[in-house]
Amino acid sequence: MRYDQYGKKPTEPGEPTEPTDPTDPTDPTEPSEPTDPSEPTEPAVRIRPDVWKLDPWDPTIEWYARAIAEMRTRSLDDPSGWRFQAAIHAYNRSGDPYAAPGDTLPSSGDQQRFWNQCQHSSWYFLPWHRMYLGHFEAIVAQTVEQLGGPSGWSLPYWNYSDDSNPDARRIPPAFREPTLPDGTTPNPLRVSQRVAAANSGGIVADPAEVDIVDALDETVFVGTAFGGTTGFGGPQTAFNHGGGPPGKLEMTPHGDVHVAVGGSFPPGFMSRFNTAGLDPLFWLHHANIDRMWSVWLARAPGNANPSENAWKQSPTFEFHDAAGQVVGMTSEEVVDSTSSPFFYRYEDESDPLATPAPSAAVAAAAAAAGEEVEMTQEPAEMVAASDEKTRLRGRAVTTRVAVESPIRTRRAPRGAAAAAPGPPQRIHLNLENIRGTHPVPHRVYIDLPEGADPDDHPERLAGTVSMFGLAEASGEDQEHPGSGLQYALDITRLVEALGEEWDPEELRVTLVPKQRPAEAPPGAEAAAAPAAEAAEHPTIEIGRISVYRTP
Amino acid sequence: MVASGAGSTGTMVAGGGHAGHAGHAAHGPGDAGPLAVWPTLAHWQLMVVAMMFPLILQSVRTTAFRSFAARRHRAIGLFLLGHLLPWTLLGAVVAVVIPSRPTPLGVATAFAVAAVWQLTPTKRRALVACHRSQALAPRGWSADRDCALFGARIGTSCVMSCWALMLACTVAGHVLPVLLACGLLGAAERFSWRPRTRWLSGATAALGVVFAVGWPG
Ligand SMILES: [Cu+2]
Repeated sequence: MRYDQYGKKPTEPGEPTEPTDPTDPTDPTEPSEPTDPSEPTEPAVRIRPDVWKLDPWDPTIEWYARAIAEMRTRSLDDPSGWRFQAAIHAYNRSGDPYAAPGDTLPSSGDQQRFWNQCQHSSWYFLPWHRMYLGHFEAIVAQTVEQLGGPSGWSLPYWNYSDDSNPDARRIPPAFREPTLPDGTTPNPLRVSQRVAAANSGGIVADPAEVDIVDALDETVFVGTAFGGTTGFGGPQTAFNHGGGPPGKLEMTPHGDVHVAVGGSFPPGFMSRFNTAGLDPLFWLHHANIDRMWSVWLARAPGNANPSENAWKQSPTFEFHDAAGQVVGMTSEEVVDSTSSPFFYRYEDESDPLATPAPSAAVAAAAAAAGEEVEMTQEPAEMVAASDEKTRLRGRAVTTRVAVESPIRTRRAPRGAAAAAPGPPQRIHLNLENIRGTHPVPHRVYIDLPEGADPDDHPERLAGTVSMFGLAEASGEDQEHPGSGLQYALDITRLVEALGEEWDPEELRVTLVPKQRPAEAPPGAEAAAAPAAEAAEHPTIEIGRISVYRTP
Repeated sequence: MVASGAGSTGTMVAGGGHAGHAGHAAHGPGDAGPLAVWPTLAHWQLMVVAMMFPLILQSVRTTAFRSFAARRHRAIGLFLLGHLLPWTLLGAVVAVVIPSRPTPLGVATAFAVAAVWQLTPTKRRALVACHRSQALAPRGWSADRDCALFGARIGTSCVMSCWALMLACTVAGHVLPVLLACGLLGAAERFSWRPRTRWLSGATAALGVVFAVGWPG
């Protein structure tokens, strides 16, 4: 691992982004080996800082704001422009909030080649977004330099899952200020197309929405689209818009934070694929998701990137670099963030969880038993499914899921020490073909006692579903087949904890809509919000709810 | 009971194959007219099975994994039957309309139509829709209905997406090089992670030129 060489550099407010001088003799990128002067020197590894550990208007943040103001002036067909950068993720002319008659669109060939490229519900989600961020960061850095700022600008990350920071789930202060520190220049970091609580400094996300345990405890990178684990990095896909389930990290916290910031009524920038990149916070959110990839890999020896050539070598994703040149990259070229082409690491890539990774426990148990356990996922079997569709209209809804064959067998559950060697049994709750227009996040509970308040039963909480991308996934067009969203939630631990205490004939699944987050300071309007929302709630339909277990 | 769905598909495919061979023998020069309809239809069905079924593997897998194990074969069989239905309807029309002797002009025209079709938004939407999934009822007759409907829906998207190419294959007389080339083209657009419209159209047109000029006679 290359980044063992770089001790954690304290990031001093004021100049956290100064890269190490490449000619500095103490430069840690050049260990004691003699250097051949004819060899091109590799750039030093930059540190992407934790935004909440910076001063509110640290130069990194202020330069980001100034660069955005500059990038916003560039035309729609300029690859280094703000709108072009957002369009790489997704673009929809009729949904473009900045559309103007004078816009110059790229040629349709260029649009097909460079826009609407985002990889969701796919094992390319992480590498594609790493490339996307890397090129964006280089373009911002170049813009900062052009404006007279320092070189080596690095994208900060927003760690909303930081338990040690009581403000972690608020958006950072500089992103809500109306003006820059000069008190007059409008602040481009603040966009009004967010949930009301965001810009008033309220807490936007529930703890469950930024919960990283399920993602970090995942033992495999590659998942399945057929009911079992969707993997840390997502299911294997060729065609990216087929509409399968997202990987564990992409589901929570990724999707949740999108909708937590963007809101549902109406869906703000962050709640839609085609406008997400227009919110400056999007890039800090994705930096944190990218950071979790590094954290997961370093967490346990068994955690590894896919070894399949289909992931490593293909396809070639194309972007524009800071010089405006087209560059193509494959996944394997970006697996190490600290080397070419991007040269960065995060301020903190340590394991945030106190409990060891399950993959480590399984590997240890197997080693003790003298066996080898492959960390791959097995095909899962459907054991229960609902006969009816579930319709969500802003109130808690319970669906009965009839059990066909036992949800739990005698095999050892995940994380249990070597009761039986071999990959542990896993159980996943699937929400299939969810269609609708407004992404309303829901909490998902299993077997809540009749009439109980869900808030009193955190032990029955299976997870959250953000509905991020609901409208895009539900409409049939030239990019999407209209299958709707799919989710697979790991309920192995819940089922184990329930023990014998449940009905073997049916599972009750309750979906509870998220209340609109309160503004700060809490106002009377916020308290009245849920009822008003229920009235305007367009229906979200879940095609089927099912349970899958590995055999 | 479980195997009945798969069984009927098997019968259908085998039946098609039989008729296909019988038809081939009778398919000499000059036997155009109503008698040629059945051999053409048989050829068509064979071609659809050979070229389309590899392309819909993902949908077949979806049907299989989204069904209880006990009714998996039945689900797949019903899906395939549903998928074949729109193709059979198109095949019946084709068998009546298409002349049985290929001509260079006919081949060139058919491929030109296919190349233009590649460029239309309707074609693009249809291709994307081939990757659709939908919720399947898990039990009873509603499960049977959903599997067949899912198949018919994917089949309809397939027809919308590929009809021009399949028609061109038929006009060219179902000869192996044409079938192979078109099969590869169909696979390329179905499995590529982001199909390039113009590239596909160009490739289709190129096939037309090759097969029209280099027609064996
Ligand atoms: Cu995202």
